[in-house]
Amino acid sequence: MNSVWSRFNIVSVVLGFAFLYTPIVLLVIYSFNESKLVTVWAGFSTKWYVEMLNNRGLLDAAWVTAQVAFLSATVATVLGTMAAVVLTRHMRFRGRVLFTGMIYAPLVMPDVITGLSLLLLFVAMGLGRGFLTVTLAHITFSMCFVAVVVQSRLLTFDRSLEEAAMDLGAPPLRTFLQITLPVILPAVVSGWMLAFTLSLDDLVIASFASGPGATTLPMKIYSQVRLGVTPEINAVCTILIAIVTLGVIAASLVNKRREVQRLRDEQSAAR
Amino acid sequence: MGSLGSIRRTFSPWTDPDAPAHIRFENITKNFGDFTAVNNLSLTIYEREFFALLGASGCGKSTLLRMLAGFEDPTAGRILLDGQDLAGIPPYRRPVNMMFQSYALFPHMTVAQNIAFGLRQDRMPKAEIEKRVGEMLRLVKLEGYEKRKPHQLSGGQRQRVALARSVAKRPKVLLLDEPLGALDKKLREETQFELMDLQQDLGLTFVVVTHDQEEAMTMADRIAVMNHGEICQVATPAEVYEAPASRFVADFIGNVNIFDGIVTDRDDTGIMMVADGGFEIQASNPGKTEKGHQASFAIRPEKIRISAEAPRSPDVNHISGEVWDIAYLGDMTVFHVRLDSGKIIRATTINDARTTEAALTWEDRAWISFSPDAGVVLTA
Amino acid sequence: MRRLLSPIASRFVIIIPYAWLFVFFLVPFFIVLKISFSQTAISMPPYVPTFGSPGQWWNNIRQLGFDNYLWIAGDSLYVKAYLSSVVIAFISTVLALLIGYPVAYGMARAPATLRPTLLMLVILPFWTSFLIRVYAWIGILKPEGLLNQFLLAVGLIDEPLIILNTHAAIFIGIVYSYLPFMVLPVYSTLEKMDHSLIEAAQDLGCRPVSAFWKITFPLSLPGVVAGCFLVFIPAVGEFVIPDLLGGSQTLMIGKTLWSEFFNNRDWPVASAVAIILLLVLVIPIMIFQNAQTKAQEAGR
Repeated sequence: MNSVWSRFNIVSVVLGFAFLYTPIVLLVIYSFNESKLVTVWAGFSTKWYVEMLNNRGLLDAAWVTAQVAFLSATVATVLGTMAAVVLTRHMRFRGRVLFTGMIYAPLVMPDVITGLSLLLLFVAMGLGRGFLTVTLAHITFSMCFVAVVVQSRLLTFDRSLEEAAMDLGAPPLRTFLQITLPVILPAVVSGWMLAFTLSLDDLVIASFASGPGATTLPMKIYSQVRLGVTPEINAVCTILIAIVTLGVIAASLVNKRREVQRLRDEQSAAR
Repeated sequence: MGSLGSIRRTFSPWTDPDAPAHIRFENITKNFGDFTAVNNLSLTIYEREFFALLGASGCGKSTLLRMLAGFEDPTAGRILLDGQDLAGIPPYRRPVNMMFQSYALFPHMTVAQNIAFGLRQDRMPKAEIEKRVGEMLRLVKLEGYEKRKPHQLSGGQRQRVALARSVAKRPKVLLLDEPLGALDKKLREETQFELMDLQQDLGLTFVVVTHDQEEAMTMADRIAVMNHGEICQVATPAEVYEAPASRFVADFIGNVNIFDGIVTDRDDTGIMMVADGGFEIQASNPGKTEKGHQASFAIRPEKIRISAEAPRSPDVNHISGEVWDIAYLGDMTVFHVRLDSGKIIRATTINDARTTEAALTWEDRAWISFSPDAGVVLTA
Repeated sequence: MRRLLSPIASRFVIIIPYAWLFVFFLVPFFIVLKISFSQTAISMPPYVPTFGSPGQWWNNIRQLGFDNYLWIAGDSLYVKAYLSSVVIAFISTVLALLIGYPVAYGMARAPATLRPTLLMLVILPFWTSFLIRVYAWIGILKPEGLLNQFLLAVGLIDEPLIILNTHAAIFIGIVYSYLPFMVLPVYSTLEKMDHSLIEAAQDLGCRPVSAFWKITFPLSLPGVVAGCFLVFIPAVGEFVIPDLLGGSQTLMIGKTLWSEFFNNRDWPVASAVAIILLLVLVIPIMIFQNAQTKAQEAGR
């Protein structure tokens, strides 16, 4: 579509984005509030950040979350990529329908059900709840997201690249590692990032699957939020928002630069 | 027939019954579910031959090529390369390389890395790889481009990288799947001749798949015309054009006029037949016709003379009609003549003089004529 | 097409993710199903490690029955929770559409150079924590919160509005959290639309507003449908939003399940609640999948 950007259009876009961003902006601003009362502005201060850094429980939870997110994202990326290969390449095997269902179902499954069912499994297995069980739970639901992201890339992948590699003497595994994987790498990386943030954000599943000693950051934030809004939590949230925002912006800038470079190259090649 | 199509008189192993087969397809059938892509096909290709598989899309030509490369397994039959059965040998162990229609250049590798890819798979020493890559770049005239990535190249350059990559390993056979399909017309014509020279220089066997008859005619030593998974004719370009084996081949390659009729007289030197509208045709090669049976006479437009007056010589086939359409194409002029039976005949004249006082114009009465050996008699 | 991998390797590639999902997705689901049929009396407090070995535990839940389902059906609290979940999700979806459509439309008509940035700005909140975004609203909506401060200062109201811990807060929370899910699919259908269609309609005598309703809106319907389901389905089972913004008196099934499990420690009933929630969601999910498949086929 290309036509006049009417006043109505501009107003609705501006209001929409104001709605999306005002709460976050306010939260960030009030994390620098001097007052203990979150809603009363009493001057600029970074004391809540200092406070936060002295809060052992919070830092422990952050460290647990970082480990869980890193580990689960990495395993989920491997499993999800394999699942994506299966979805796009193996059209006929026994149980394919079930497999496809098991990939898509967790995407729409309410968190409370996923959490409950995994907890019951861990109990039935006699697995003590803690770091391991949260990680397993996060791998399970984020691998499905990775699978969908990587699958959509594989669908547009030119299979003659793989055939060419094999034709030139590369056996299947080497073909995958030297040709397929490098080409779909951006999708695999964004799958990893998605899995990482999903794990970082998850409250409900972690609450079910985790146990004492493995409290994640969202669980910690949740338990404090239930007691009321505090500037300290605002500070933690601000830092989390900053990390994710910087990550997403950096990734999109890298992508954009690569895209621009490619376009420029193509234009110069076409003469 | 032997006098036809002997442009390269020196190279014709297919006429030698003792010549060893390089590639043999023996009773190959390939089914995809209910669809039969290739149907009980047998074919022999000789060493150093430039062989073209020609047909419309879906005729099974690409499937045949992919079976040779190892990407598809035949449902029945076997493929031999220098006498060795290729069944069960995966693509990465076959001494056959392919140039893909999409070129399939690895986007994350430079030109040099692309060309070296196959050599690295064979664990060739580094120095030797470098030397071979240099050779290949010279061969396809891309020196100085080794550091570029595929997206930094023009279409023609990409095509040449793909070519260099596929011949770098010195395969026994080079398979080319629509090698020029993505190039524009002018570049395509230039590249056709480059490919022929390259094939001569390297002394490789080339098997090319194309739907472009001109491309096949230009480059190939022999052409296999395919339709519905079967081979209609395997012959030199000249034979395919001048002596098509069937109506389908005659119609597929170039333009043709076909007269259907009944054979009224036949001996070893020729036949007489009566086509629709009572047009009597005398033809000099009897083929497999039988007296009293159906036959067709196929004649190319350029072999029909067109004139305002009836031809004098009585042994020339002739009939009159009305000039229906004239198309001036520069090098030649195409006439469509409508016979009294309603049939439209296409005839062409070469414009060998600059000023042609048009002897014929729209709605004129005109005579078309041709000699008995100007066309072929077909029964299929 | 020859398989990319050798038979053994390709079996390996299939089996690993398959086995993983089987063990960690399908089996747990059947455990939930089985426990939902077991006796309430043998429920297990989750933090007490004295319930013995897994084998014993299985023996305990062997006596199956529909008791839990009958219990849920008999208790108007559960029935109300299911109903109000669906109603709240539905109203929120309609609100999200009313807000999201103009935004998506405005984005689609923005200058082409601006669109990628706008798109990224819509996606960005999706990457930031759900919990944080919901939490941010507490400070805004509470009686002495920023919204009331602002409205009082402007003079629009004389005394603070009570928004937090009402349905209104839940609507705000759901619309806010899921707005990107509505905007993105609608935007992508609008963005792909050929503008010459509108020009053709106007050329044939259609006024701009009626051109919108006769051409643009019908063509954007696939995006609207996708957006509505993407908001509705997760909203039904939502826990965080009703818990943090809705207060104690709002009933939503995700919250009920949570408290049944963590507060009452009644695992069999929690499981039965989960199974019924799934049944409630199955129909919209099936409709959604069906619509998606159709849209994909039409797109081809």
